[in-house]
Amino acid sequence: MEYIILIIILVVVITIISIINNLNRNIVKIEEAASSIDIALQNRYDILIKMMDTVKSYVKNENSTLFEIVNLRKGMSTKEKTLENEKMNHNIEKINVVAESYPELKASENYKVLQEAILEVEEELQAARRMYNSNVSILNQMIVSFPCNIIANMQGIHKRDFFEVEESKKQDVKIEL
Amino acid sequence: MKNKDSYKEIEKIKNEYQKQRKSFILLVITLFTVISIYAIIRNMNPDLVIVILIIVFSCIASYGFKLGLFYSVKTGLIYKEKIVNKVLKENFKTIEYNPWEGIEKKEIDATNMINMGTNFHSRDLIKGNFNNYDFVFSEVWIYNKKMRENIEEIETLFKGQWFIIDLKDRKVSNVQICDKIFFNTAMDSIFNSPNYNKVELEDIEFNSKFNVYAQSTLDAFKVLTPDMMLKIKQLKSKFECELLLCFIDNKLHIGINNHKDIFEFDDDKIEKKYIEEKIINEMNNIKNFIENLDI
Repeated sequence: MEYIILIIILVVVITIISIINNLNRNIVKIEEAASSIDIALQNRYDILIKMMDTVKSYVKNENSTLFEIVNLRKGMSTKEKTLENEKMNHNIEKINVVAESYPELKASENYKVLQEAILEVEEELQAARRMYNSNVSILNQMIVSFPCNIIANMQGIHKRDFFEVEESKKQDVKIEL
Repeated sequence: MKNKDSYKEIEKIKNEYQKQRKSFILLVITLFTVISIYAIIRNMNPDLVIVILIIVFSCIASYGFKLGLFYSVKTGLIYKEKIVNKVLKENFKTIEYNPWEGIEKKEIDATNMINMGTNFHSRDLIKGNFNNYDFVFSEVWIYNKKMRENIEEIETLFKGQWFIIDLKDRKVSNVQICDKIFFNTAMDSIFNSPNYNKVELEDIEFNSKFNVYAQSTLDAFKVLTPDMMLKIKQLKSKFECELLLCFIDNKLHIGINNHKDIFEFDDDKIEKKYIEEKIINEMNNIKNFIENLDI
């Protein structure tokens, strides 16, 4: 009888340890993916600033209210990152509109290079976003299923937010070359 | 020579072979009867009769084997060089076909996806360009030859088609996509290599069908976009067999383990329509996939 109790305790302990390890592993993966998003967002922001400068040099009279202010900083929540990303989407959309009215801007070599660069970063961001959301989905599924939910509660692990991109916004950032 | 004549030539060789086979069987029966009757009349030593029979039948078997081999080689030669080559040239302008060459072993070995076994055969090399993608394609057979209790055994590890598609200046780190039901992977090399991580993608159906290993998880997500995953799933359902895909050195390798040799001469079906349809269909499957690749 004592052995059976001992074995049961051992099985429970091993299960708990493996669940905690799985949860922690997933959190690390989410953090890695979040860091990839941060890098992609930063790159996108840097290119966007260059693009906005290029556009401003062509549109000297209307540049004061043309773009939204994007504020990227360390330690932002997923919702904040999503919001800033959307602002960048709006700015790129505006750049596209402006480029349509200024053919010399659209034809400039600098603008073309920046367009290509932003497409590359866009791809990077999409991949990072999917990687992040995939890991968040795995973690969130674990958190709501028994017995993970009990251990997750004890460890203070909560559901994470997805890094959302509206479908319409995804279309906006596609720049025709 | 026209295709029509090639079919006639094969038909003629087949008829000749069948005639020779009939005469050969008749010769075997006659020899057996003559030797037996002679041995009974002369009351020969049974051991001596057995030795004579063994010698005579060894010579006959060797001749029969050569006859069959000669037939298959000759028909195969006409089929591949004249029929397949012509059908491919007529229907696909941007490809070159060489029936006697293949993809080199080292190229497949470099993917680290497959247990290379003891023997490697590759034939029916096609080089070409579809939708601005340069590609090579070949039939590949990888197997282990083993001796068990003095009997030679052949264990097939991979038999099917192998593609190598040049992705040009597209830079991707190594990503391997291996069918879950393909068991002859070079698993050791993957697990021994600290550079490869197993990657779970967001597509549950894709994860249930394939194992994905990558040097960088982010690159795996970059390469395997939802659209790409859909295309790979479609390819799997179209070929109904095990698939291996590997992105390495800016090339995409695709292995189709369908245990088929699509350019093999089928002795029972020497109909022009059937053969041409078969070749064109197989080639169109390849063409459609490459054209829709859009990496």
